[in-house]
Amino acid sequence: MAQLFNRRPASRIKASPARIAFSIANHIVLILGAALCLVPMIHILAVSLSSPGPVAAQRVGLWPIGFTWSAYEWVVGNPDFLRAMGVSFLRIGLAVPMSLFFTVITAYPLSKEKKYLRTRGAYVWFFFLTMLFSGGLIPSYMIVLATGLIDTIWALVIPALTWQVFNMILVLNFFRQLPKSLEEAAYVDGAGHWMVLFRVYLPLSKPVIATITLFTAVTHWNSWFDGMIYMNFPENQPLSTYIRNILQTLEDVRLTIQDVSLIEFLNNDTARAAQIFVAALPIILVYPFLQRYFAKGIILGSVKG
Amino acid sequence: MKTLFRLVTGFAVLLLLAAPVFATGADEEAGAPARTSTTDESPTGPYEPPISVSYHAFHQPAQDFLEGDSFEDNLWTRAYSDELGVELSFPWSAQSGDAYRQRLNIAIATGQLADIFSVSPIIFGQLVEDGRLAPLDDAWEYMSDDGRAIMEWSPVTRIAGTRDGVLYGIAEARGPEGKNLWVRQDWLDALGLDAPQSVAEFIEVARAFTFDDPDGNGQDDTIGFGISGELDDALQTFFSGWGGYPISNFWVESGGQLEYGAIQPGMREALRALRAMFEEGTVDPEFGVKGEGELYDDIAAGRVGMYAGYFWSPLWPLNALKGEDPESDWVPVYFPSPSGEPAPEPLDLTPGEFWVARADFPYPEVLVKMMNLFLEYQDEQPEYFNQIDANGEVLELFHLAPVQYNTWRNNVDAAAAIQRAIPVGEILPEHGVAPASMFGAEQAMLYATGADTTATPWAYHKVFADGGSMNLVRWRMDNDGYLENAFFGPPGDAWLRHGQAINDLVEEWYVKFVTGEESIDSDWDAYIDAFSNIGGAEVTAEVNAWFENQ
Amino acid sequence: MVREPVSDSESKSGGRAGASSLVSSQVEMRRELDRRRRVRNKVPEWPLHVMLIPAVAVIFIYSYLPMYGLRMAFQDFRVSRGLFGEQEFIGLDNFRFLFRMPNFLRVMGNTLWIAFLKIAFGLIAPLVVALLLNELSNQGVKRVIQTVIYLPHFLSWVILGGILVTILSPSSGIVNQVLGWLGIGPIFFLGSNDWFVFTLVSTELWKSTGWGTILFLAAIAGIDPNLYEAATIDGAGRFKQTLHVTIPGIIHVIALLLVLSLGDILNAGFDQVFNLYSPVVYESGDIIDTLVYRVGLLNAQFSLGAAIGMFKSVVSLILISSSYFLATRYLNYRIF
Repeated sequence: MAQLFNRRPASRIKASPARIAFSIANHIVLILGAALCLVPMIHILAVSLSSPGPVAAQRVGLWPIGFTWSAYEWVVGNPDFLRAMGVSFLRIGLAVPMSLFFTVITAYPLSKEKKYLRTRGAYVWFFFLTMLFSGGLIPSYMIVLATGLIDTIWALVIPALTWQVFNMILVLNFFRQLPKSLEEAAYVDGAGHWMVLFRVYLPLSKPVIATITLFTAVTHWNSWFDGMIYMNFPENQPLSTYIRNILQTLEDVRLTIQDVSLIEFLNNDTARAAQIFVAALPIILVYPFLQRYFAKGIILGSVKG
Repeated sequence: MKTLFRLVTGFAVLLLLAAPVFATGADEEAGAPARTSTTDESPTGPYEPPISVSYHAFHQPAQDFLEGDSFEDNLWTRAYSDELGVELSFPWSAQSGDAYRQRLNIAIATGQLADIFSVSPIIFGQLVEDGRLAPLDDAWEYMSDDGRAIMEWSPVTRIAGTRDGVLYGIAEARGPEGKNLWVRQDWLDALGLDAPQSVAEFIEVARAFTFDDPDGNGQDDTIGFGISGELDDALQTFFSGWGGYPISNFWVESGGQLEYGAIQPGMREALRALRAMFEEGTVDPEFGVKGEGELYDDIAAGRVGMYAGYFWSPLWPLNALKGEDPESDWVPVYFPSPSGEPAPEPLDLTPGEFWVARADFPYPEVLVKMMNLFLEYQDEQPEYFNQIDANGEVLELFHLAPVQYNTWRNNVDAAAAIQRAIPVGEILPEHGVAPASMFGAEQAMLYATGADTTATPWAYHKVFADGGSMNLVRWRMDNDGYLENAFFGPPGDAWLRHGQAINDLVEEWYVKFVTGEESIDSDWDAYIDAFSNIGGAEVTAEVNAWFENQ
Repeated sequence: MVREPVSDSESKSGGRAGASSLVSSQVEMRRELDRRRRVRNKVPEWPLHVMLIPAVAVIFIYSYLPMYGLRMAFQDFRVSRGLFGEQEFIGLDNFRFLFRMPNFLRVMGNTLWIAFLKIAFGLIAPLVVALLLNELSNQGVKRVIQTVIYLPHFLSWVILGGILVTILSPSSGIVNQVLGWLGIGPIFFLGSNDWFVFTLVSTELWKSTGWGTILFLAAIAGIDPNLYEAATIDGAGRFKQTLHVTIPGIIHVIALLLVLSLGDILNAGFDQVFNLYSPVVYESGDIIDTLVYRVGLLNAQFSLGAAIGMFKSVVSLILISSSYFLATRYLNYRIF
């Protein structure tokens, strides 16, 4: 499939001076923008690799002062952090495949014309309204409790399926763009809807599937509120809730003189930075991995192949 | 239109369908169970047979444990079990602060309350009115003498926990936080100045700290008096020196009426003083956008010469600067006032949390017994508070006690004890350092003997030793140096509705007056009018109605 | 319901046949219709409903059942009386309180303005960046840049807030130092009502543009390369290709995002504003959500929260559904 990139006829056009000038300007703009986006991450990395003293004194910018790995050694040896990360991985492992399946089998019927699915309009609005109205914290908790999910990993997976409506709309729009001739040919050959969905639609839909995979994974990795509300004990909470708790302490702290370890904890900017960095790393790496599905020519390749 | 109509109808039908599902709900409070265990009258007498008690647990981030212990099973839960015959359990545990409040609201609204728990004043008031809390008057009879002494020091605490003459909530006695002025001692020394004792000297020192390069780095990078745009709590003492009280729901008596603190004429004078300093550049020109956190960053970076801090300020953020710049040193002093007297420290002792028991819980006195055990251990069992592990790290274990009952007075007593010990050079039993304060005492001693002069020992020394911040607290106690809020009833409806608008107004105008965006001379009346119009008048009427009934 | 023939495709096939004789075209049309009917009959509708069962069930249970709580907006809800307890119905009092808050007009204006700017630039900036990225011929460079620009999305505003206060400081911040070299006097980005909204919008763009490009890049990846080939043969340069192939190819995503983002017209971004604002800039930067948050600090205002939520939902519903129906009616274009 790689050679398909070259089907984009760019290489065949002779580069005009204007084109070269544009290309250079384009590179400069994008690289400068990218550099700007790197700054906060580098700052956090630098803080996490510095000694606590210079950090507390606000002297660390983009380069570590008093280089040390000790914050990372602490993070790696911190059972609370590791357990929370384990919960997050489990959550992603369950939620992403489930959500994808859920979204795809819902988007497929909704992508059909009204003549195939007469009640399509009602379904679409049934789903869409939930993007706008929400009952609030207490009744949502009641339902999760009544369905027996409280304090189980499923509390972070199943209610979160309701967040998929936006992704459904994306996928159904993508499905609608697919050439109708393909599915009609499949129907003539005797294929049913399930077959068409999994054998015809999905192989053509890699860019959109990759996109909603990324969206779902990131949403689940970052969402902290359900972890805080639906999990009864700190040891069952995901990493995002753990990190949120760390940051929250900074905001509403009133010390008593006996709070020795809380004071140490507050002073420990480097450990906090290391945790933020390590917590963000796995999810940041998802995108580069998925990027190959964003390559051009996929549709063409699949249709012809 | 037709589609829209169908949409709305469908939506309504769905909601109607939803309703009955909820009708099956709450499972709490299914008739009051009878008492099946007995206990004696003594403060820490055990239950026979043992009773099980549930509570809503809150925890600190990074809680320490002894090897093999957990939230469910640790030295404190074992102590309650062994000594009181109380088997503790908790349906959930949340980090103290916002997470705990949210979880508790859910538990209340869904009828899943534990037997005993801690609750904020507003929800406390609602729970009492709706009959969901147990009266604690009988339970109070079990309170030990130490416990009674705590409540007696601060009658407000008891009043706040009482509704219609019945006690429903027991709170820890809050005390002064030692809101005073902290001054860079090393900068004073470098410039040959003394700590300010009058307003004129205060302004003089601020100038010198701003313009005379106190840190000797040749750069104009210092701030004489550090403040933030959030109207920091500690700055209250500065204002009160002039007779202004920009404090949420703080009232002063004047001519038989209560008046709001933030619109007092003294407020105007204090603002004039700050405005003058802002104009000459001795307060941070950017203070308006900084919160307390950013101010602390500036302090830790060694840019600030004076600021309004607390008695615990050496532990944070001054220790951060000390760690980086060992030469740095601070001294706490009273905010000067125009009268020449130290500015009184405004006090609002209304509790922020109450310990309560569920209405049909048959053993509400267990709360008091648990408090008694905590107090008893405080004097006798140091290992329940702090321990040092094999690596020399401090394990802070007292947070594991679900029901704590404490008093800020501990710190005053600890300071006195430490000051007895320091001349001797070691901590002996006769100095009377309470176990809970032992760690701080040892640290202060390390500094005093010169064995360790790094940031942490320095910080504890700065709090507890002679010339430290606790001495200022002590002096105020002995010399009537506090000013209590003249209003100490439960917040009324008008306040609950308009209070935030009033707080916003005060904060917004404070910054505008100081930066000169509004003129203190010509816009003051507009400020007063705005206060009245956004609900100040209503709240004033409500508070005065309360006052007449006192 | 009568199944009507779909005009579009029928007329197309009819039109093509129109070149030949009328008779044969009618025959052809009938055959085509027969074939379609056969296919349709062979492919029953019920599996489609089966596919929808899981989603309908989950959404009904976890989204619709909790909407029971919407009635809090019309109650003086007290947690102590419980979700099913006897709450006092107070009609529209919560809304009245909300709309009569002393600063409500100011806050409403701020919210609309900030949200509008964020919606407009939040659509344009990622689109432009995605198109620029699409022009990079080196796939390696493209991927690295794509990955880097989406990094800020992973840092919360709590963290970024602290960093921004430092770098935007008029006296010591790096941004003002750079502006100083260019001869531009120090700008108080976070402390001036003239600049605060600009700061909000630009930092929001900085944080989320990279993230926003993902959807556009995915859509661009979905464009049939044959179209580019055809355009090249027609002599279209890169710019014209972008204009006539790329943008039409992703117009459905643009339209979708535009319509959905209309629903955010009352969401100006609580986390960001909360972490960046201060009383000095309440005048330009205080928004509905931050105001309601501060009111909630004093009082457990469940009802007020529910009322503001319902107000926002209704406004969103009106905006989205009217744009949806307008698009269907006048552009014959269904967004979802």
